[in-house]
Amino acid sequence: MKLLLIAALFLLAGCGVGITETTGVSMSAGPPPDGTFNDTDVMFLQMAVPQHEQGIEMARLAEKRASRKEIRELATAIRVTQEDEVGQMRAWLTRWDQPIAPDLDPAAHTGHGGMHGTDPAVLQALRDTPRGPDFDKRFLTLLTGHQHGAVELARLEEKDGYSKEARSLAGRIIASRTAEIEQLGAYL
Amino acid sequence: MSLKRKLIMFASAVLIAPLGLVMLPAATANAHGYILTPPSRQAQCAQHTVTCESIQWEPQSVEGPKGLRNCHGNVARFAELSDNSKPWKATSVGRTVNFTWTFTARHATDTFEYFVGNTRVKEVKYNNQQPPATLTHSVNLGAVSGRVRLLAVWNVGDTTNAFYSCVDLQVSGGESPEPAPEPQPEPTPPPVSGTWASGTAYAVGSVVTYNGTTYRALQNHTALPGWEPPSTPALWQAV
Repeated sequence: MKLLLIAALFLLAGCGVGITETTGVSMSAGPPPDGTFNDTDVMFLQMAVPQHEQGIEMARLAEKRASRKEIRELATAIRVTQEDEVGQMRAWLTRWDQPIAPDLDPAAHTGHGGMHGTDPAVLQALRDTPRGPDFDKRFLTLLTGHQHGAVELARLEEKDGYSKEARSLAGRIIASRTAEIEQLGAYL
Repeated sequence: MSLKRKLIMFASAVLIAPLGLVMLPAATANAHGYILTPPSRQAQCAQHTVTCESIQWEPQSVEGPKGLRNCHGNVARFAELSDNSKPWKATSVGRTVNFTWTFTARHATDTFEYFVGNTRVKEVKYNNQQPPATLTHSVNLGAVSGRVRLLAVWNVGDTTNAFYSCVDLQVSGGESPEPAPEPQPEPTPPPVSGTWASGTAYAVGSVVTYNGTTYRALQNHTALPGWEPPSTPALWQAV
Protein backbone atom coordinates (compact mmCIF):
# COMPACT_ATOMS: atom_id res chain seq x y z
CA MET A 1 0.00 0.00 0.00
CA LYS A 2 2.96 2.34 0.68
CA LEU A 3 3.96 2.17 -2.98
CA LEU A 4 0.46 3.14 -3.96
CA LEU A 5 0.52 6.12 -1.59
CA ILE A 6 3.84 7.38 -2.94
CA ALA A 7 2.75 6.86 -6.51
CA ALA A 8 -0.58 8.56 -5.92
CA LEU A 9 1.06 11.56 -4.26
CA PHE A 10 3.49 11.77 -7.15
CA LEU A 11 0.55 11.75 -9.53
CA LEU A 12 -1.16 14.51 -7.58
CA ALA A 13 1.94 16.65 -7.39
CA GLY A 14 2.55 16.22 -11.07
CA CYS A 15 -0.84 17.12 -12.39
CA GLY A 16 -2.93 18.87 -9.77
CA VAL A 17 -6.61 18.30 -9.24
CA GLY A 18 -7.89 19.20 -12.69
CA ILE A 19 -6.96 16.19 -14.73
CA THR A 20 -7.31 16.27 -18.49
CA GLU A 21 -7.46 13.25 -20.70
CA THR A 22 -4.50 12.49 -22.87
CA THR A 23 -3.89 9.49 -25.00
CA GLY A 24 -1.99 7.13 -22.79
CA VAL A 25 0.35 4.32 -23.58
CA SER A 26 -1.42 1.91 -25.88
CA MET A 27 -2.37 -1.43 -24.40
CA SER A 28 -0.98 -4.50 -26.08
CA ALA A 29 -3.82 -6.91 -26.51
CA GLY A 30 -2.04 -9.33 -28.81
CA PRO A 31 0.47 -12.07 -28.04
CA PRO A 32 3.22 -10.64 -25.83
CA PRO A 33 6.96 -11.13 -26.42
CA ASP A 34 7.35 -13.95 -23.92
CA GLY A 35 4.04 -15.52 -24.84
CA THR A 36 2.49 -15.75 -21.39
CA PHE A 37 0.95 -12.42 -20.34
CA ASN A 38 0.32 -8.85 -21.45
CA ASP A 39 -0.15 -5.42 -19.87
CA THR A 40 -3.87 -5.99 -19.39
CA ASP A 41 -3.24 -9.13 -17.39
CA VAL A 42 -0.81 -7.35 -15.10
CA MET A 43 -3.02 -4.35 -14.53
CA PHE A 44 -6.09 -6.53 -13.97
CA LEU A 45 -4.31 -8.47 -11.23
CA GLN A 46 -2.84 -5.33 -9.67
CA MET A 47 -6.29 -3.75 -9.47
CA ALA A 48 -8.09 -6.91 -8.47
CA VAL A 49 -5.92 -7.58 -5.41
CA PRO A 50 -7.05 -4.46 -3.47
CA GLN A 51 -10.59 -4.81 -4.80
CA HIS A 52 -10.71 -8.38 -3.46
CA GLU A 53 -9.24 -7.27 -0.15
CA GLN A 54 -12.01 -4.74 0.32
CA GLY A 55 -14.59 -7.45 -0.30
CA ILE A 56 -12.79 -9.68 2.17
CA GLU A 57 -12.99 -7.02 4.86
CA MET A 58 -16.69 -6.52 4.20
CA ALA A 59 -17.21 -10.26 4.51
CA ARG A 60 -15.26 -10.39 7.79
CA LEU A 61 -17.53 -7.71 9.24
CA ALA A 62 -20.59 -9.66 8.17
CA GLU A 63 -19.28 -12.89 9.67
CA LYS A 64 -19.18 -11.09 13.02
CA ARG A 65 -22.24 -8.84 12.80
CA ALA A 66 -24.87 -10.26 10.45
CA SER A 67 -27.93 -11.47 12.31
CA ARG A 68 -28.93 -14.16 9.82
CA LYS A 69 -26.94 -17.38 9.74
CA GLU A 70 -27.23 -17.79 5.99
CA ILE A 71 -25.71 -14.34 5.47
CA ARG A 72 -22.82 -15.15 7.82
CA GLU A 73 -22.23 -18.43 5.95
CA LEU A 74 -22.30 -16.71 2.56
CA ALA A 75 -19.87 -14.12 3.92
CA THR A 76 -17.49 -16.89 5.05
CA ALA A 77 -17.65 -18.62 1.68
CA ILE A 78 -16.98 -15.30 -0.07
CA ARG A 79 -14.07 -14.48 2.23
CA VAL A 80 -12.28 -17.83 1.94
CA THR A 81 -12.66 -18.06 -1.84
CA GLN A 82 -11.47 -14.48 -2.33
CA GLU A 83 -8.53 -14.99 0.03
CA ASP A 84 -7.38 -17.90 -2.13
CA GLU A 85 -7.85 -15.83 -5.28
CA VAL A 86 -5.71 -13.04 -3.82
CA GLY A 87 -3.00 -15.60 -3.08
CA GLN A 88 -3.14 -16.84 -6.67
CA MET A 89 -3.01 -13.36 -8.14
CA ARG A 90 -0.03 -12.34 -5.99
CA ALA A 91 1.74 -15.56 -6.98
CA TRP A 92 1.22 -14.90 -10.69
CA LEU A 93 2.47 -11.33 -10.42
CA THR A 94 5.54 -12.56 -8.58
CA ARG A 95 6.15 -15.31 -11.14
CA TRP A 96 5.85 -12.74 -13.90
CA ASP A 97 8.29 -10.51 -12.05
CA GLN A 98 5.70 -7.74 -11.76
CA PRO A 99 5.03 -5.54 -8.72
CA ILE A 100 1.92 -6.28 -6.68
CA ALA A 101 1.28 -2.54 -6.44
CA PRO A 102 0.37 -0.88 -9.72
CA ASP A 103 3.06 1.17 -11.45
CA LEU A 104 1.48 4.57 -12.08
CA ASP A 105 2.98 6.39 -15.01
CA PRO A 106 2.75 10.08 -14.10
CA ALA A 107 3.07 11.08 -17.76
CA ALA A 108 -0.17 9.37 -18.65
CA HIS A 109 -2.53 11.78 -16.94
CA THR A 110 -6.01 10.55 -17.47
CA GLY A 111 -9.57 11.52 -16.71
CA HIS A 112 -10.84 10.43 -13.35
CA GLY A 113 -14.39 9.32 -13.80
CA GLY A 114 -14.96 6.50 -11.44
CA MET A 115 -13.27 3.45 -10.15
CA HIS A 116 -13.78 -0.26 -9.73
CA GLY A 117 -12.49 -0.43 -6.21
CA THR A 118 -14.94 0.40 -3.48
CA ASP A 119 -14.59 3.89 -2.10
CA PRO A 120 -13.05 3.74 1.39
CA ALA A 121 -16.07 5.68 2.66
CA VAL A 122 -18.19 2.66 1.82
CA LEU A 123 -16.03 0.37 3.92
CA GLN A 124 -16.06 2.90 6.74
CA ALA A 125 -19.85 3.07 6.62
CA LEU A 126 -19.98 -0.69 7.12
CA ARG A 127 -17.36 -0.64 9.88
CA ASP A 128 -19.47 1.98 11.65
CA THR A 129 -22.64 -0.12 11.51
CA PRO A 130 -23.08 -2.18 14.65
CA ARG A 131 -24.76 -5.54 14.91
CA GLY A 132 -28.49 -5.08 14.55
CA PRO A 133 -31.30 -4.78 12.04
CA ASP A 134 -29.48 -2.23 9.91
CA PHE A 135 -26.32 -4.24 9.47
CA ASP A 136 -27.68 -7.08 7.35
CA LYS A 137 -29.39 -4.81 4.86
CA ARG A 138 -26.44 -2.44 4.66
CA PHE A 139 -24.00 -5.30 4.08
CA LEU A 140 -26.20 -6.82 1.35
CA THR A 141 -26.59 -3.46 -0.38
CA LEU A 142 -22.93 -2.44 -0.20
CA LEU A 143 -21.56 -5.82 -1.21
CA THR A 144 -23.89 -5.90 -4.22
CA GLY A 145 -22.42 -2.64 -5.52
CA HIS A 146 -18.91 -3.86 -4.74
CA GLN A 147 -19.35 -7.12 -6.63
CA HIS A 148 -20.78 -5.29 -9.65
CA GLY A 149 -17.44 -3.46 -9.68
CA ALA A 150 -15.57 -6.76 -9.56
CA VAL A 151 -17.53 -7.98 -12.58
CA GLU A 152 -16.76 -4.80 -14.52
CA LEU A 153 -13.05 -5.23 -13.84
CA ALA A 154 -13.07 -8.89 -14.80
CA ARG A 155 -14.89 -8.05 -18.06
CA LEU A 156 -12.01 -5.81 -19.10
CA GLU A 157 -9.58 -8.69 -18.54
CA GLU A 158 -11.79 -11.03 -20.55
CA LYS A 159 -11.81 -8.53 -23.37
CA ASP A 160 -8.12 -7.66 -23.64
CA GLY A 161 -6.17 -10.07 -21.44
CA TYR A 162 -3.87 -12.73 -22.85
CA SER A 163 -2.83 -15.03 -20.00
CA LYS A 164 -4.89 -18.22 -19.89
CA GLU A 165 -4.80 -18.32 -16.10
CA ALA A 166 -5.82 -14.69 -15.62
CA ARG A 167 -8.60 -14.97 -18.19
CA SER A 168 -9.87 -18.12 -16.56
CA LEU A 169 -9.91 -16.38 -13.18
CA ALA A 170 -11.76 -13.43 -14.72
CA GLY A 171 -14.38 -15.83 -16.07
CA ARG A 172 -14.84 -17.40 -12.66
CA ILE A 173 -15.09 -13.97 -11.04
CA ILE A 174 -17.82 -12.93 -13.48
CA ALA A 175 -19.76 -16.15 -12.91
CA SER A 176 -19.43 -16.30 -9.13
CA ARG A 177 -20.01 -12.59 -8.40
CA THR A 178 -23.07 -12.52 -10.68
CA ALA A 179 -24.48 -15.50 -8.79
CA GLU A 180 -23.58 -13.85 -5.48
CA ILE A 181 -25.43 -10.69 -6.49
CA GLU A 182 -28.50 -12.79 -7.15
CA GLN A 183 -28.13 -14.52 -3.79
CA LEU A 184 -27.63 -11.20 -1.95
CA GLY A 185 -30.74 -9.81 -3.61
CA ALA A 186 -32.76 -12.81 -2.49
CA TYR A 187 -31.80 -12.08 1.12
CA LEU A 188 -32.85 -8.46 0.96
CA MET B 1 -12.18 3.00 -21.01
CA SER B 2 -8.79 1.29 -20.97
CA LEU B 3 -7.63 -0.72 -18.03
CA LYS B 4 -4.65 1.57 -17.56
CA ARG B 5 -6.90 4.59 -17.09
CA LYS B 6 -9.07 2.70 -14.67
CA LEU B 7 -5.95 1.65 -12.81
CA ILE B 8 -4.86 5.21 -12.24
CA MET B 9 -8.35 6.34 -11.27
CA PHE B 10 -8.74 3.39 -8.96
CA ALA B 11 -5.41 3.77 -7.25
CA SER B 12 -5.91 7.49 -6.80
CA ALA B 13 -9.36 7.03 -5.38
CA VAL B 14 -8.31 4.32 -2.96
CA LEU B 15 -5.54 6.51 -1.64
CA ILE B 16 -6.75 10.07 -2.02
CA ALA B 17 -10.10 9.80 -0.29
CA PRO B 18 -8.61 9.12 3.14
CA LEU B 19 -6.36 12.14 2.69
CA GLY B 20 -9.51 14.22 2.54
CA LEU B 21 -9.13 15.40 -1.02
CA VAL B 22 -12.09 15.31 -3.35
CA MET B 23 -11.24 14.16 -6.85
CA LEU B 24 -14.11 15.36 -8.99
CA PRO B 25 -14.63 13.03 -11.92
CA ALA B 26 -13.83 14.55 -15.28
CA ALA B 27 -15.43 11.85 -17.41
CA THR B 28 -18.52 9.63 -17.29
CA ALA B 29 -16.66 6.38 -16.80
CA ASN B 30 -17.57 3.87 -14.23
CA ALA B 31 -19.67 5.33 -11.45
CA HIS B 32 -22.99 3.54 -11.81
CA GLY B 33 -25.95 2.66 -9.62
CA TYR B 34 -29.57 1.58 -9.33
CA ILE B 35 -32.35 1.11 -6.80
CA LEU B 36 -31.98 -2.17 -4.97
CA THR B 37 -34.89 -2.05 -2.53
CA PRO B 38 -37.74 -2.20 -3.27
CA PRO B 39 -36.34 -4.02 -6.30
CA SER B 40 -36.25 -1.85 -9.41
CA ARG B 41 -36.87 -3.48 -12.78
CA GLN B 42 -33.14 -3.84 -13.42
CA ALA B 43 -32.68 -5.35 -9.94
CA GLN B 44 -35.32 -7.92 -10.80
CA CYS B 45 -33.40 -8.73 -13.99
CA ALA B 46 -30.13 -9.11 -12.07
CA GLN B 47 -31.81 -11.33 -9.50
CA HIS B 48 -33.55 -13.40 -12.20
CA THR B 49 -36.94 -12.66 -10.73
CA VAL B 50 -37.83 -11.78 -14.31
CA THR B 51 -36.11 -13.12 -17.43
CA CYS B 52 -34.21 -10.38 -19.19
CA GLU B 53 -31.50 -9.96 -21.76
CA SER B 54 -28.30 -7.97 -21.45
CA ILE B 55 -29.57 -5.73 -18.62
CA GLN B 56 -29.28 -8.70 -16.24
CA TRP B 57 -25.48 -8.45 -16.39
CA GLU B 58 -25.22 -4.72 -15.72
CA PRO B 59 -28.25 -3.35 -13.90
CA GLN B 60 -26.12 -0.43 -12.80
CA SER B 61 -25.64 0.88 -16.34
CA VAL B 62 -29.00 2.40 -17.27
CA GLU B 63 -27.45 5.70 -18.22
CA GLY B 64 -28.81 8.22 -20.65
CA PRO B 65 -29.16 11.93 -21.19
CA LYS B 66 -30.90 13.90 -18.48
CA GLY B 67 -34.56 14.73 -18.88
CA LEU B 68 -35.87 11.35 -19.99
CA ARG B 69 -38.98 9.81 -18.45
CA ASN B 70 -38.66 6.18 -19.52
CA CYS B 71 -37.24 3.19 -17.66
CA HIS B 72 -34.34 2.37 -19.97
CA GLY B 73 -32.61 5.73 -20.36
CA ASN B 74 -32.86 5.41 -24.16
CA VAL B 75 -30.28 2.60 -24.08
CA ALA B 76 -31.47 0.40 -26.94
CA ARG B 77 -30.24 -2.90 -25.56
CA PHE B 78 -32.12 -2.21 -22.27
CA ALA B 79 -35.41 -1.33 -23.97
CA GLU B 80 -37.24 -4.19 -22.26
CA LEU B 81 -37.06 -2.19 -19.01
CA SER B 82 -39.76 0.05 -20.49
CA ASP B 83 -41.92 -2.90 -21.51
CA ASN B 84 -44.83 -2.71 -19.09
CA SER B 85 -46.17 -6.07 -20.20
CA LYS B 86 -43.24 -7.96 -18.63
CA PRO B 87 -44.15 -9.66 -15.33
CA TRP B 88 -42.40 -7.12 -13.09
CA LYS B 89 -43.03 -7.84 -9.41
CA ALA B 90 -44.73 -4.96 -7.59
CA THR B 91 -43.62 -4.60 -3.98
CA SER B 92 -46.42 -3.97 -1.47
CA VAL B 93 -45.87 -0.62 0.21
CA GLY B 94 -47.67 2.16 2.02
CA ARG B 95 -47.65 5.71 0.73
CA THR B 96 -44.23 6.47 2.22
CA VAL B 97 -41.49 4.27 0.81
CA ASN B 98 -37.78 3.95 1.59
CA PHE B 99 -35.73 3.55 -1.58
CA THR B 100 -32.19 2.20 -1.16
CA TRP B 101 -29.57 2.62 -3.87
CA THR B 102 -26.55 0.46 -4.57
CA PHE B 103 -23.55 1.95 -6.36
CA THR B 104 -20.41 0.68 -8.03
CA ALA B 105 -19.05 4.13 -7.33
CA ARG B 106 -20.71 7.42 -6.49
CA HIS B 107 -20.59 10.28 -8.95
CA ALA B 108 -20.63 13.89 -8.01
CA THR B 109 -24.37 14.44 -8.01
CA ASP B 110 -26.64 17.23 -9.07
CA THR B 111 -29.94 15.79 -7.76
CA PHE B 112 -31.99 12.67 -7.23
CA GLU B 113 -35.57 12.93 -8.47
CA TYR B 114 -38.55 10.66 -7.95
CA PHE B 115 -41.54 10.70 -10.33
CA VAL B 116 -44.96 9.10 -10.16
CA GLY B 117 -46.42 9.59 -13.61
CA ASN B 118 -45.72 13.20 -14.54
CA THR B 119 -45.56 14.37 -10.97
CA ARG B 120 -42.22 14.80 -9.32
CA VAL B 121 -42.81 13.68 -5.74
CA LYS B 122 -39.34 14.27 -4.39
CA GLU B 123 -36.10 16.02 -5.26
CA VAL B 124 -32.92 15.74 -3.21
CA LYS B 125 -30.08 18.12 -4.05
CA TYR B 126 -26.44 17.23 -3.60
CA ASN B 127 -24.76 20.35 -4.99
CA ASN B 128 -22.18 18.40 -6.98
CA GLN B 129 -21.11 16.36 -3.96
CA GLN B 130 -21.03 12.59 -3.80
CA PRO B 131 -24.06 11.02 -2.17
CA PRO B 132 -23.27 9.13 1.05
CA ALA B 133 -21.98 5.59 0.87
CA THR B 134 -25.27 4.18 2.01
CA LEU B 135 -28.18 6.00 0.49
CA THR B 136 -31.83 5.62 1.38
CA HIS B 137 -34.45 8.23 0.55
CA SER B 138 -37.85 8.26 2.19
CA VAL B 139 -40.39 9.28 -0.45
CA ASN B 140 -44.04 10.17 0.05
CA LEU B 141 -45.80 9.00 -3.09
CA GLY B 142 -48.76 11.28 -2.59
CA ALA B 143 -52.44 10.41 -2.86
CA VAL B 144 -52.04 7.29 -4.99
CA SER B 145 -53.11 3.73 -4.48
CA GLY B 146 -53.02 0.46 -6.35
CA ARG B 147 -50.39 -0.36 -8.92
CA VAL B 148 -47.91 2.49 -9.32
CA ARG B 149 -44.70 2.79 -11.32
CA LEU B 150 -42.14 5.11 -9.83
CA LEU B 151 -39.24 6.47 -11.85
CA ALA B 152 -36.10 7.39 -9.90
CA VAL B 153 -33.50 9.53 -11.62
CA TRP B 154 -29.93 10.04 -10.44
CA ASN B 155 -28.78 13.23 -12.13
CA VAL B 156 -25.00 13.19 -12.32
CA GLY B 157 -23.23 16.45 -11.49
CA ASP B 158 -20.34 16.46 -13.91
CA THR B 159 -21.85 15.11 -17.13
CA THR B 160 -25.06 15.61 -19.08
CA ASN B 161 -26.24 12.14 -18.09
CA ALA B 162 -28.47 10.51 -15.53
CA PHE B 163 -29.19 6.97 -14.31
CA TYR B 164 -32.76 5.68 -14.47
CA SER B 165 -34.51 3.13 -12.23
CA CYS B 166 -38.18 2.19 -12.49
CA VAL B 167 -39.76 0.55 -9.46
CA ASP B 168 -43.16 -1.17 -9.59
CA LEU B 169 -45.20 -0.74 -6.42
CA GLN B 170 -48.54 -1.91 -5.07
CA VAL B 171 -49.66 0.92 -2.85
CA SER B 172 -52.17 0.32 -0.09
CA GLY B 173 -53.98 3.43 1.06
CA GLY B 174 -52.67 4.89 4.29
CA GLU B 175 -49.29 4.92 5.93
CA SER B 176 -48.70 1.22 6.55
CA PRO B 177 -44.97 0.55 6.78
CA GLU B 178 -43.20 -1.71 4.30
CA PRO B 179 -43.66 -5.32 5.32
CA ALA B 180 -40.52 -6.86 6.78
CA PRO B 181 -39.03 -9.49 4.47
CA GLU B 182 -39.88 -13.09 5.36
CA PRO B 183 -37.00 -14.60 7.28
CA GLN B 184 -35.41 -17.35 5.21
CA PRO B 185 -36.08 -20.79 6.65
CA GLU B 186 -32.89 -22.33 8.01
CA PRO B 187 -31.85 -25.05 5.61
CA THR B 188 -30.38 -28.16 7.20
CA PRO B 189 -29.06 -29.97 4.18
CA PRO B 190 -27.98 -33.54 4.84
CA PRO B 191 -24.53 -34.45 3.57
CA VAL B 192 -25.16 -34.74 -0.15
CA SER B 193 -23.39 -37.03 -2.55
CA GLY B 194 -23.43 -37.23 -6.27
CA THR B 195 -22.11 -34.83 -8.84
CA TRP B 196 -21.41 -31.25 -7.79
CA ALA B 197 -24.19 -28.95 -8.95
CA SER B 198 -24.44 -25.20 -8.81
CA GLY B 199 -27.39 -24.04 -6.69
CA THR B 200 -27.10 -26.94 -4.25
CA ALA B 201 -26.72 -26.14 -0.56
CA TYR B 202 -23.83 -28.18 0.84
CA ALA B 203 -23.08 -28.70 4.51
CA VAL B 204 -19.61 -29.29 5.86
CA GLY B 205 -18.76 -32.93 5.21
CA SER B 206 -20.82 -33.30 2.03
CA VAL B 207 -19.05 -35.44 -0.53
CA VAL B 208 -19.36 -34.81 -4.27
CA THR B 209 -17.61 -35.77 -7.45
CA TYR B 210 -16.54 -33.34 -10.13
CA ASN B 211 -14.80 -34.39 -13.33
CA GLY B 212 -13.96 -37.74 -11.82
CA THR B 213 -12.44 -36.44 -8.60
CA THR B 214 -14.12 -36.75 -5.21
CA TYR B 215 -14.29 -33.75 -2.87
CA ARG B 216 -15.44 -33.07 0.68
CA ALA B 217 -16.99 -29.71 1.66
CA LEU B 218 -15.03 -27.63 4.15
CA GLN B 219 -17.65 -24.87 4.58
CA ASN B 220 -21.43 -24.69 4.58
CA HIS B 221 -22.28 -22.93 1.33
CA THR B 222 -24.57 -22.86 -1.67
CA ALA B 223 -22.59 -23.86 -4.75
CA LEU B 224 -22.25 -21.10 -7.33
CA PRO B 225 -20.96 -21.09 -10.91
CA GLY B 226 -17.31 -20.03 -10.69
CA TRP B 227 -16.97 -21.95 -7.38
CA GLU B 228 -16.37 -25.39 -8.90
CA PRO B 229 -14.42 -27.71 -6.57
CA PRO B 230 -11.10 -27.67 -8.45
CA SER B 231 -10.98 -23.85 -8.25
CA THR B 232 -12.04 -23.46 -4.61
CA PRO B 233 -9.72 -25.34 -2.31
CA ALA B 234 -11.12 -23.28 0.59
CA LEU B 235 -14.55 -24.82 0.00
CA TRP B 236 -13.65 -28.30 -1.28
CA GLN B 237 -10.91 -30.70 -0.31
CA ALA B 238 -9.98 -33.44 -2.75
CA VAL B 239 -10.19 -36.80 -0.99
